[in-house]
Amino acid sequence: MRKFNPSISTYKNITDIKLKPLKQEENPRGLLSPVRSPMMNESKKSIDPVIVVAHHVAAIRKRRNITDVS
Amino acid sequence: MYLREEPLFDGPIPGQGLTAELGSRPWQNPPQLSTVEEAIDYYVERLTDESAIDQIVNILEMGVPIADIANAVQLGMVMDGVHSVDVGILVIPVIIELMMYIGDQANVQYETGLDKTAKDGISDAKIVNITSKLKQKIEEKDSLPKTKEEKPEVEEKEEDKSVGLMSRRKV
Repeated sequence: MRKFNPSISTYKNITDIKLKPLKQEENPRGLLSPVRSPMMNESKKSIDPVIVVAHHVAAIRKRRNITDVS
Repeated sequence: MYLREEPLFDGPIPGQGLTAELGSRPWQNPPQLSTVEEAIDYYVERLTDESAIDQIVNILEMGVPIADIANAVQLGMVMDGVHSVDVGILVIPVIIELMMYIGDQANVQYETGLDKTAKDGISDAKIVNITSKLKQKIEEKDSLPKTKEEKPEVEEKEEDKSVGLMSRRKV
């Protein structure tokens, strides 16, 4: 009987996540554009770590699939 | 449930883990990498190193499941104080995917350990094999000529002889 392995459940949970493309907000460049406060920048930075991992996994998988075909 | 047949005498004494000074262990100190992004960068850099790739390929060729390797790797890093337990759990899928990528590149037939394998339970083929063997044995026994007629043993029950003063007497 195999012991409980957390890596199996974490991997399956990550692969179940449906990914949306990360939006990159354009920085306003004009002289009169509103300046963002550092407080707002901090809140913008905080992306869910699970989503970060899911994006990394998807990127590696995509590369794997590309190499498999070739 | 698995029960240990022999007592473990050389194991740690209860409470032995608390005898070291607080903060003397790496995992009792703040981790070197606090975010998932840092941990991913660390693992990608370490696992894609040439010497690491050779080791991983060797282990995969031995048939060790990738899920088990990934769990062991992240646990080792937690023990070394590189990252915390929760970051380690989060990073596991990246480690697994990286190892699969390395295995694919090296053309190794690796075992992921993510699916149920034959090791987890008894396979259908084994069950069919065993039942057919049992049937054969039963048929062989039935075909043998019976030399002695076995009489069914009937156990004679001894009637309880009542001994007490207040016991009922037989009429």
